[in-house]
Parts: sequence; structure tokens; C-alpha cells
Amino acid sequence: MSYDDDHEHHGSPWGPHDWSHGAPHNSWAPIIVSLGIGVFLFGFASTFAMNETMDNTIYSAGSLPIVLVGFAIILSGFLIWWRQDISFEGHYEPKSSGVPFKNIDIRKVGIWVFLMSEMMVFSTLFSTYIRYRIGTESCQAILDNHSTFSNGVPFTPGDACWIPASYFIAGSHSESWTISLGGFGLPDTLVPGAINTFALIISSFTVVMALQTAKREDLDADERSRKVRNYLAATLVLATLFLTLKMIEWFIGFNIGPFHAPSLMEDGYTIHNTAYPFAGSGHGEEHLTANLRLSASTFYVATGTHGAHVFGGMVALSYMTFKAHKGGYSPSNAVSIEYFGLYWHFVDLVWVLVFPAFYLY
Amino acid sequence: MSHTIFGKDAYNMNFAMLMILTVIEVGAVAASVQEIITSQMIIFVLVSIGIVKFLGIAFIFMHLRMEEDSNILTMTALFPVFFIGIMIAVIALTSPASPDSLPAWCRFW
Repeated sequence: MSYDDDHEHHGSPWGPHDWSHGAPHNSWAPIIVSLGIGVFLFGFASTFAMNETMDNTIYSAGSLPIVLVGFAIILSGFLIWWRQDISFEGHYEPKSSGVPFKNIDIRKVGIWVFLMSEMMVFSTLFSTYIRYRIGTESCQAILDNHSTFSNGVPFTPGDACWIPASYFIAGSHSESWTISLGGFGLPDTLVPGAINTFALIISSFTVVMALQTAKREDLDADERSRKVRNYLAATLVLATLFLTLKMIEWFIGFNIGPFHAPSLMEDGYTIHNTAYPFAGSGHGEEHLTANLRLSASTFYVATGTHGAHVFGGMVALSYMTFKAHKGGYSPSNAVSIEYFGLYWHFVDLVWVLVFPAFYLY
Repeated sequence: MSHTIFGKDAYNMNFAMLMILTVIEVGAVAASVQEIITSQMIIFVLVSIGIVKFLGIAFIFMHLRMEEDSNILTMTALFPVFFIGIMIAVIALTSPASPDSLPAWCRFW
């Protein structure tokens, strides 16, 4: 595409532009956003801290201004980014000029680099999970061993041991077994997580269908816009369903007809619970008074970080659905949907790992 | 450009595969809870299905195969694997008590 030949580009107060000479799309925006995120996280970490005995959260309003300043810097970075790109509406794709990405769309490379940094974020969460899962004795094993750790030390009430979230979600803990799959009983507590898995997979499919439709030149503009809007709206609805079910699973629980499940909070699976009466299986009245903070915080941080990414995708989807409704997508600027799709598939990809690791096993 | 697998649209085929594998995944857990299959078997099933679903999404939906720039983008996607390997070796497989021995300047308390 020879967009450079057709358009005049002038110096802009919003950032250094040199598109007319074939240079990459330089921008200060990523550096400003990174700085903002750094300030925001610094302030956020200082706003919430644990007390001396590590059993409660202390809220400190003194750091709130830092949080707000960080948030303002992030917003200004996004504003600059948006202002720089908005005039092109995705029709112009600058190419990368350096090895090894020569002649690849530079925004595509940028998205992939961003996704890889995201991969590192989730890898830290999985590393933490693996480390604690392997390194902390399971409460069931201790109970089976007559309230004794494997090294022979007796278990004292309040000691930490591992109860996976799957014990509450997909394990024998559930009293409600109304769903039958070919003779197999399926706990009701697993239903939200299972539906969410299907919802994310379907939403990945609707995004690729939106992209495929936006690239179709055989459709007239109105029909294409309507179909793209519908696919993106379907994705948004599925994402909303995902977060709604997540809230139900964590905080609310459900009691619909024959289906009943308490929330994880109601079950006592919280990051503050240091005295959970773990009865396990096959032990009659015996139980351990276990400290759940380790396993619960690992679960909530990992799945919560994933949920935050879903929410971020919903914000972008809202804008894109509105843009599609206004007829903003055509075969020449459909790559915007592709780039969002890469992010969304990544969110789905992470869930593919989170679901079995945290919900099923 | 539309791609095919066994003569069918690649997106549709991948979508169908992901849905079927998820049904198998959930069914396997139900079988595990009923003690029809062992805990070792369920780990094997979940890991195997997880890898196949992961590759299906990355290769088909994220276009790491079948596009002109797929190879270099696949290399980009693999780049963090080195660091993830280090992280798993150094963090995930170490003793949970390790942070207790860190010097004070590494800790918040």
C-alpha cells in the first residue's frame, strides 16, 4: 500500500511523526504509559499492605494521590496514542524496517511483543502456583497420615497445608450432584467454570468470524458492518457472561431449580481464613484446622489477574462494537480486529491453562 | 485468505476441536471424582488436552501457522520460553521456605 504517497504528514505536537519518509511510527506514548503503570503500581502496592501478624489488610489512604497520578499518566499516554492513530483509522500500516521483523506490520510485531510480556506475567503466577503446590503438603495427605506431616512433625491447628480450589469446585466437597454426564456425576459447583470455558472458546471463534467478515469484499458495506457488529457484540456478551459467572462463583453462589452451589467465599475459601475445618474424605468426624491463606491467595491472584484481562478486553470490545455499528470497519482496516483478536485469543489461551490447573486438578 | 484443514474451514475445524476437547476435559474430571480413573491418569489427560488446545488456539486462531509472517512470529512467541524455563527451574521447583533466607533488602518486611 502506498499510503505515504497519497497523504501529507506534518510534524505533530502529539509525537514525532516521519511517516512520509518511510520511518516507523515513532511515538512517546508507550514510554509514558509504562511510566504511568510504574507509578500506579507503586502507589497501589503502598495503599494496601498486610499487618504485622500477616492476617489482615491495612488500608493507607496516604498513597492514594500516587495511585491517581499514575492513573492520570496512563490515561494521557493512551490519549496521545489514540490521537496519533485516530486520523488513519487503521488504513495505514507502517512496516517494520529492522531485522528480524523487516516488512512485517509494525503494530502486529508490537502486539506480539506485548503478548510475550504478558506471557511472563502469567508465567510468574504459574511458577508461584507450581512451587507452592509441589512444596506445600496437601491437607488430605496430612489427614491420611493421622494429622502428621510427612517428616513426622505433628500438625498443629492453624498450620498451612494445601487445599486446591478444585476441592471446592470440582471435588468431593460438593453436596449437590444433579448434573449427570453419561452416568458420571458432575458437581454443580463446576458449572460456572465449565460454562466460562465454553464461553471463552466461543468468543475466540466470534472474534475470528468478525475478522473474516470484515475482510469480505463481496458484501455490501451495510451488511458487512452489521455482521461485524453482531460478531463483536456476541463476543462482548460472552465476556460479560464470563465475568458475571466469575462473580457468582466467588461471591454469590447460585440456587436455580435443581442446581445449587455455594460461593467460594461462603465455603470459607478466603485469603484470610486461618482456621478452615478440613474434613477431607474417608475420615468420619476427623478434621484438620487448616490455614488456607496460601492456596486461596494463589488461586485468587492468578484467576483475578486473568479476569482483569477479560475486563480490559471488554472495554476495547465496547469501543469496537460501537465503531462497527457506525460502519467503521472495511477490508482495508480490518487489521484492528486482528490485533484485538490476538489479545483476546491470548486471554483464551491463558484460561486453557488456568482452568485445568486451578479448577479441575 | 481462507485456510482449510481436511477440506473444511480451518477456523470452524479448530473451534469444533476445542469444544470437543473441553467436553472430554470436564467429563474426565467427573470420572476422576467418581474414582473411575486415577489421579495420575487425570493429570495426564488434563496436561495432554491443555497442550493440544493451546497449540490449536496459537496456530490457527492466532495465525502462527499458515501466514507469510508465521515463522518469525512463532520465533517471537517462543522467545520468552527461555525465561519461563529459568523461572520454573529457579522459582517453581525450589523449596517454599527459600524466601525466608533472602537478605533483608530483598523483602518488604
